[in-house]
Amino acid sequence: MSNASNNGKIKVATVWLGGCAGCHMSFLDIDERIIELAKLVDIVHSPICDTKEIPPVDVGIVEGGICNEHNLHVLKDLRSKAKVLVSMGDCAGLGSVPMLRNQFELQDCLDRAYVAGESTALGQVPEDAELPKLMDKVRPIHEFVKVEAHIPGCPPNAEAIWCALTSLLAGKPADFVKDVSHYD
Amino acid sequence: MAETKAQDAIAIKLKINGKEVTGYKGQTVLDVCKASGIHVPTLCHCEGLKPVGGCRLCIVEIEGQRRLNTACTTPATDGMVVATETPRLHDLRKRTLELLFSERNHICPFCPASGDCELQKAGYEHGITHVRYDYLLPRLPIDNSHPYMAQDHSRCILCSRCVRVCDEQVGAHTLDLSARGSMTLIAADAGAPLGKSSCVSCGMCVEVCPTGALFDKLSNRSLGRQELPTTQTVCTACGLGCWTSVKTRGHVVLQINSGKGPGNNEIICNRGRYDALKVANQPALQLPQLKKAAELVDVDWKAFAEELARRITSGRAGSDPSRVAAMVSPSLPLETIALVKQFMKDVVGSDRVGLTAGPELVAASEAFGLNGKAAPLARMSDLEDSDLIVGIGVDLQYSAPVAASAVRRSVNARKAQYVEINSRVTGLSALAGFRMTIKPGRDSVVLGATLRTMAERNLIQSTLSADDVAGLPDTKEQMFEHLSGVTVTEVVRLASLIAGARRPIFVIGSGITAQGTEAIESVINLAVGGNYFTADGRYRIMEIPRKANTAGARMFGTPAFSMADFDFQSTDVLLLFLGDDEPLWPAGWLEKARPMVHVSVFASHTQPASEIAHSLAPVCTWAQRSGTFVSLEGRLQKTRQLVDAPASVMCDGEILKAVAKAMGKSFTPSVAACMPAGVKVAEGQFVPTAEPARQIVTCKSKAQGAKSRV
Ligand code: SF4
Ligand code: SF4
Ligand code: SF4
Ligand code: SF4
Ligand code: FES
Repeated sequence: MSNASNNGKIKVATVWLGGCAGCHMSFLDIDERIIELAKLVDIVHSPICDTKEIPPVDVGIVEGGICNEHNLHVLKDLRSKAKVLVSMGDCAGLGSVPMLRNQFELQDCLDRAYVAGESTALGQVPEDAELPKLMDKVRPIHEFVKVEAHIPGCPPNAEAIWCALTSLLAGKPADFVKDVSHYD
Repeated sequence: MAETKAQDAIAIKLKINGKEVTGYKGQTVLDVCKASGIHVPTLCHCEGLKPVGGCRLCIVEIEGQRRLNTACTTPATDGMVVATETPRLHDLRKRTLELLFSERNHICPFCPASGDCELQKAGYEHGITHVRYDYLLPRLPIDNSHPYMAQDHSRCILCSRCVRVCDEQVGAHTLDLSARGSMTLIAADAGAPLGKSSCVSCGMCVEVCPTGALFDKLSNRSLGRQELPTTQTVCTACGLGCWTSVKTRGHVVLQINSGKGPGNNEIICNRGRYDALKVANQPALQLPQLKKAAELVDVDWKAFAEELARRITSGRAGSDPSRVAAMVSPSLPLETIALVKQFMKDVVGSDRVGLTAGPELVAASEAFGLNGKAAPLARMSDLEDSDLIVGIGVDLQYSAPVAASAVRRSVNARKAQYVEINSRVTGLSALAGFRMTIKPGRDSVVLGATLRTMAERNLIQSTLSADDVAGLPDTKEQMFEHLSGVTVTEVVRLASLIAGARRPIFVIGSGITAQGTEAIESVINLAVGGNYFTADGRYRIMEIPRKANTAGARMFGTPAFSMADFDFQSTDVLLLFLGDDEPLWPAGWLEKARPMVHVSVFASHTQPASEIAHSLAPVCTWAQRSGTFVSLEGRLQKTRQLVDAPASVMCDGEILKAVAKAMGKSFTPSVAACMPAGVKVAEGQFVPTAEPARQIVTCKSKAQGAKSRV
């Protein structure tokens, strides 16, 4: 990743797909090192910046698995704009909790949530052109696009994210880091 | 087994990863690697269980062999050249692991084993960050029917460790692999819910399960990413004294597992794992209580000590200290017994210290001629070496479950015979090749008649004199069958079974000892008459006592009284020192104690005796103090203090000091000086034993006043 563009900083985009935002929280948890990180990278797109379009970037970071068609669309978009794509967290890389619904038929899941749910009155599965269509099965992102590195964890701790990013920035592969990386 | 290192083991040389190492013939490649500090990843392998070579994680390359071998099942041979870490092995192992992750539902963040999971650790070790196979995500059941453990098939890797431990070590053989449809599952009794199966709730399967497929409900295994302090100690839930390994966090005991030590074959039971855990932590009471207007109310220690001091020094007790009595449970450490004895003698001036035990205490002391020593009895290793096990008046599954496992193992794997003589059905009845249902209290007659039959029919080469034999009960006596509930044919059958065995062992419990001296003597007679001794001269009799320290308590000499001969009339103040959980009291006993002027109960948890208490002192639980115990094998064992007690809870010594102070006396406990002489052996060693008898005792010889014990 030595060929950084512009001001010498590396451009990063993060996206939030089928996840709980916990990974992004953990990302912010890097604490004061975020300043150090800011010297090295420009976060040009993320759920906390207000940009509509994903610009071309050096590193794309994905939280969450692929649950609906919109997730897939964003993933493909980011893949096409990022030189390096990284999965952040168990949902994006290992499927994890959202994937549990694969044990059931999609329609049964929708009925359970919207029709038979204890807190629903006159329940009805919402239908609107604006709403993205749910995928039949939830899948981790590497089943759709090429992914250069995975940072497991639910959420990955800040240390694991830091280790992965600094390795990538130094042009090294971001591997599982003993005593830092974890699945839980 | 890992360390197959018999004295005459033949050494072999191997080259592993380019390094010369020495092993022994009979070891597997994995054994040699472990002994040489070479790490080979494993999953289905479990120390102490037969290897099955199922998971293929331990594959290694062996020079000259084209296929890869599993280290856990491949015998090591001289000159073998082995590679355990090559890129090819690493890649294959990684694939194996990824397949395991993809086959079922491993959601680590929500798994009770996360942080203590061997599959997860192996994943880390192989740098797995994602899985390249499609997840199968099968929908699998969860079995939540058992009170202590649950099984989530979603996390099962079918390593069969649970099946093997349950069969090979626990001897229950509850679990097995069963194919239901396309999915193989671990099933109890071919499909029963665990809670309704033959499971004896020992939790060993949970302990050996490498994943979160089997987990404890009382102690979640998700003990965090940090290693927690683990302490080796000794179980005090029964007289066997198995070694345990206990995990703690801060002031909390989290989990009890089996420990490495002599005697228990490295397993523990339901009582040691779960019952002990339930009472390990916080005492139920945090402050002492006094009865005020029929209600027990919280007070401070000063008020407690003053009230107890007042009761001891006023009224009839004040002028006659022998109206104060104390009883100590033999489930408490020797130190507590010594301390109470000293307090009663030096501070109160009463020698009335008894044990919360039945007549078995006194009877056994007499019958075995103890005199401050331990009885010359058989040990677990003798049990494991017997070809005939005769259980008499004992429910091993209840009283010492790990010993019950040894019996099951002996019957299942060594083809030993189990014979049961009991008035009731026990947890091992189904295992018995021969059962005798005897009328309660008739054991001495039946056992005596059995010995007589053995002698009269020349089934044994006996040293018994004609007189000896004539003094024994006879099946020809009138109403023998009616009174004993046993037929003559049954007696003959038992006689020939015993006589036909090479190394029989008699396992007795409170069903015998509580009957008194005569019943115990009838068992000793069998051992003496048939010459059934261990090589070093102990009786081939194993006694299963009721409490953890029964054997130790006997070494203080005969107590002033037992529960059976307690003199309620002559007692005004009674101090009861109880273990963490003592539900069993003789019928009506507590009712008779109720009218006393003052009953003070020292215990960590509320139990039946608390109900008649005028004062209650919360004391440390077993996990909050250390102490000395003598196991039923006669081994001196020490428990470790695992956690601190809450600040408001005291140990017996401090409380008694406070009471003495309130009485205006000083009390300096000198526990060491008050301990029985026999316990001055090193931890783990056997305490000295009394000499066994060489002649039998009969009614006749007793009547003649023969001092028969030599
Ligand atoms: S069993 Fe192990 S690998 Fe499976 S979910 Fe639990 S912690 Fe993770
Ligand atoms: S708890 Fe013990 S008896 Fe029950 S299934 Fe597990 S190993 Fe077998
Ligand atoms: S339940 Fe646990 S020990 Fe038993 S086969 Fe499954 S993973 Fe192995
Ligand atoms: S057999 Fe007795 S000493 Fe051993 S674990 Fe069970 S209760 Fe504890
Ligand atoms: S550990 Fe050897 S095959 Fe599983």
